[in-house]
Amino acid sequence: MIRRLKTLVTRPPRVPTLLKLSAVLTLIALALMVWSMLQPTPMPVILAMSLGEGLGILAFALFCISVLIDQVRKQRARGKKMTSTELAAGDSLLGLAPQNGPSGTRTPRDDAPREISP
Amino acid sequence: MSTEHPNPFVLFALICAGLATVLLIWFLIARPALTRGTKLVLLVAIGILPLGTAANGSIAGYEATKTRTFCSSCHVMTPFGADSSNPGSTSLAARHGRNQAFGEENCYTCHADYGMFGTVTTKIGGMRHVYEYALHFHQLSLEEALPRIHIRQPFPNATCMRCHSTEAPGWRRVGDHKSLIDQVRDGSVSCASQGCHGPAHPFAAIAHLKAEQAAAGAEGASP
Ligand code: HEC
Ligand code: HEC
Repeated sequence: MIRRLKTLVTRPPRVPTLLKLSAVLTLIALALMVWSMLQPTPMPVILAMSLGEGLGILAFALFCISVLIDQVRKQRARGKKMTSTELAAGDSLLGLAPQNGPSGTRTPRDDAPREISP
Repeated sequence: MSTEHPNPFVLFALICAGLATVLLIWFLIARPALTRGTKLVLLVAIGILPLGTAANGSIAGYEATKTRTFCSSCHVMTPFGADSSNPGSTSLAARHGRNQAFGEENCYTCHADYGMFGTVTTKIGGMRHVYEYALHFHQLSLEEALPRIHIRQPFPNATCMRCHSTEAPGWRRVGDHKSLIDQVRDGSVSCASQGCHGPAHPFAAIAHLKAEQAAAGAEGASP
């Protein structure tokens, strides 16, 4: 358990995993809300207005965090490339991988086979 | 409920939920690359459309909590609902359950708190009911439960006076109203007291009376 938590800190979940989680949470939240509208009795209505809305907000927060992480990683990768370009003076920009091309921007961990990125 | 005259809020909420579901399932199955377009689709599917569902669903849910069918969906409240829905009933509650303005929401109109935070305090009170029901009343039979269900605070005359102003000439001509007008207005004599307009739910009062008599009988029998 503790080890798992540790790996969560040292190796935060990858963006596609976070997005998948966010999508699934949204589906659960929507299901609860739809249930409360089709059967407006105390149990479903209370669940939808507490758990349903809570999960929906959590899912949206996860989505925002994922997009932010993705943006930061891409920007950082881009920055790294720029400095390496400067170091390897004489290398033309054209000779490098395209700015946000797949191979050039990936950090080693992001190279996992299931990575979805352009 | 919504099937009889489709509630526009419910309809809108369901459409939003349907569209979001389609987009999300597409995302989960097709696993598209995380391009700007994908992010935009997800923003719509995780952010905007569910917000539409939640906002409209909350309005619909809030409206639903005011209806008599909602109030009487726990088994201990069914006799109250049945009495108010019975066109032949002469109870005070039932006589307030027949007009177009609030007949379908008669429990809420009489039992909600009024004032600035009335809606909030009513909902908190409602959550207490849910808690009581889940913890204490869920497993009781109707016969066991009825004598134990009491109104928590004396029913305020101010609630009746929201609609019955005590100013109408016809109202003031009634002898008891005329002689008791100050006590009625300050609440020291309840409009719903026995002999005036109460009890509002006669069968519940009878259940209380029977339970009291049984308790008194048991006391009398024991030395
Ligand atoms: C005309 C206003 C009015 C309406 C409508 C009304 N009530 Fe009441 N209710 C009262 C009053 C007044 C009392 C206080 C006890 C009494 O007079 O019977 C009460 C008491 C109660 C009690 C406590 C039981 C008791 O005897 O103390 C419950 C439970 C209750 N009402 C549920 C409902 C439900 C459910 C509905 C809708 C089906 C409803 N009421 C509709 C006025 C109303
Ligand atoms: C939400 C507004 C509202 C509230 C609150 C309300 N009433 Fe009424 N009351 C009405 C209306 C409207 C009618 C007429 C109903 C009808 O004709 O269908 C009425 C009718 C009555 C009647 C006449 C019934 C008859 O059959 O002649 C009495 C008595 C009465 N109310 C007493 C009370 C008392 C006591 C309370 C408080 C426990 C109360 N009302 C609370 C709106 C209200």
